[in-house]
Amino acid sequence: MRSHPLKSIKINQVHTKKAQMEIIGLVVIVILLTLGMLFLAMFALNEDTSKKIFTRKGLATSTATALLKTNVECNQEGGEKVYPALGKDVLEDCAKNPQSQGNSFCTIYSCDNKHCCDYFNETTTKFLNSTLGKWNKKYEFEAKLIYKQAQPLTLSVIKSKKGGCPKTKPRDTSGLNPITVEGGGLIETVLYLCD
Amino acid sequence: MIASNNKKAQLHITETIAVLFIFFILVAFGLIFYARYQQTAVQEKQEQLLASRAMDTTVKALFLPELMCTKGQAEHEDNCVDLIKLNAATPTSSPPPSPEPTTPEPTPSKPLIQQKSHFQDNSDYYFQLFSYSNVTFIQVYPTSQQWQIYNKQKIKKSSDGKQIKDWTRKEPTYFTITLRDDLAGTTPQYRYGYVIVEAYS
Repeated sequence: MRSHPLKSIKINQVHTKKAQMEIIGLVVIVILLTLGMLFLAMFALNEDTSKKIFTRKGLATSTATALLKTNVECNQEGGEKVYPALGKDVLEDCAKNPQSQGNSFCTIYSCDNKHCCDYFNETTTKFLNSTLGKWNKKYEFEAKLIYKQAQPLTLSVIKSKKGGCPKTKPRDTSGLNPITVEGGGLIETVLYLCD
Repeated sequence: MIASNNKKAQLHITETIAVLFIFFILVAFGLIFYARYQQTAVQEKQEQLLASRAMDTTVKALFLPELMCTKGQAEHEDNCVDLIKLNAATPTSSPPPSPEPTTPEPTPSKPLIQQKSHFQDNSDYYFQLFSYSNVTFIQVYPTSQQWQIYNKQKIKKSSDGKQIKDWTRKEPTYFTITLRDDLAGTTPQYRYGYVIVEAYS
């Protein structure tokens, strides 16, 4: 007994349809799994960092301002006790008499019998360490003297014990705090904070 | 022919049962995962809210007119606290805690202020501002000193009638400030310090 050729063609068509349906089912499952994975990745990576950034930026600004405003105990010519501001006065004196140009004494202030640049660096390190360092923050402080067309002269670079904040890392800045130097020039100070 | 058809149907039923079984296992996995995720998400949200409250409280503490540095009718100074106002508001100041360079400042276990301060006298008003938190101003240079202006912790009564703390998390926020001393000489002097605000939850 031989089957009709038309019947075998019909059976083949039914089988092909069934196979197609199964493939569609598999594709749907794969699409659903992919969507699930995508949602998971989206939720997992979407971390709210707004607080961190706001706090870091505010902290950098407030620390730099407070640091430069603080009055320190020094002596003036004749041994008179004075209280100059660490930024405006001591750093300005440092800019006028940089050690790199062979100045072993500062012209206006003598603080703890040290060169004003040394005193500035030591005091700033102490202040930053007692606040930002204590709170386990990474920081980098820079002070540069800009004068006419000449190359900027670095007066101070202070980094936290855990390391500084290089450009390649996400960091927040206090913004530039310019201090004008009597007789020409400008001191630019900046404090960077990073994780 | 009938026996073969029966076998086919049985096979189909087994196949359907297997598919349904796997489907329900997948659904169960999905539900377990979702529940776990929700649990973590709620915890994270709570932490975020606490951090946000700590930040708000810090801003309020920094901009308290009772303590801010002012100069007549001129604009106030940012991140500056007037020492005269601070001393008047918290008459007794105490020495700072022992230095611990790597860990943040711990919450003082005992109340630091013996006399009732302005902030304690008006505790209801300040509770609206600071809620359950601890606000302390600390001077680092030239001398170490601290002023705890506000400290309210959530407390509950234990079974034996004792008062015990009713908070599990503490979010500290720090800000560096200057403390202006107008009585130091002819010109005001600025001291270096910071404010620490701990929000309890």
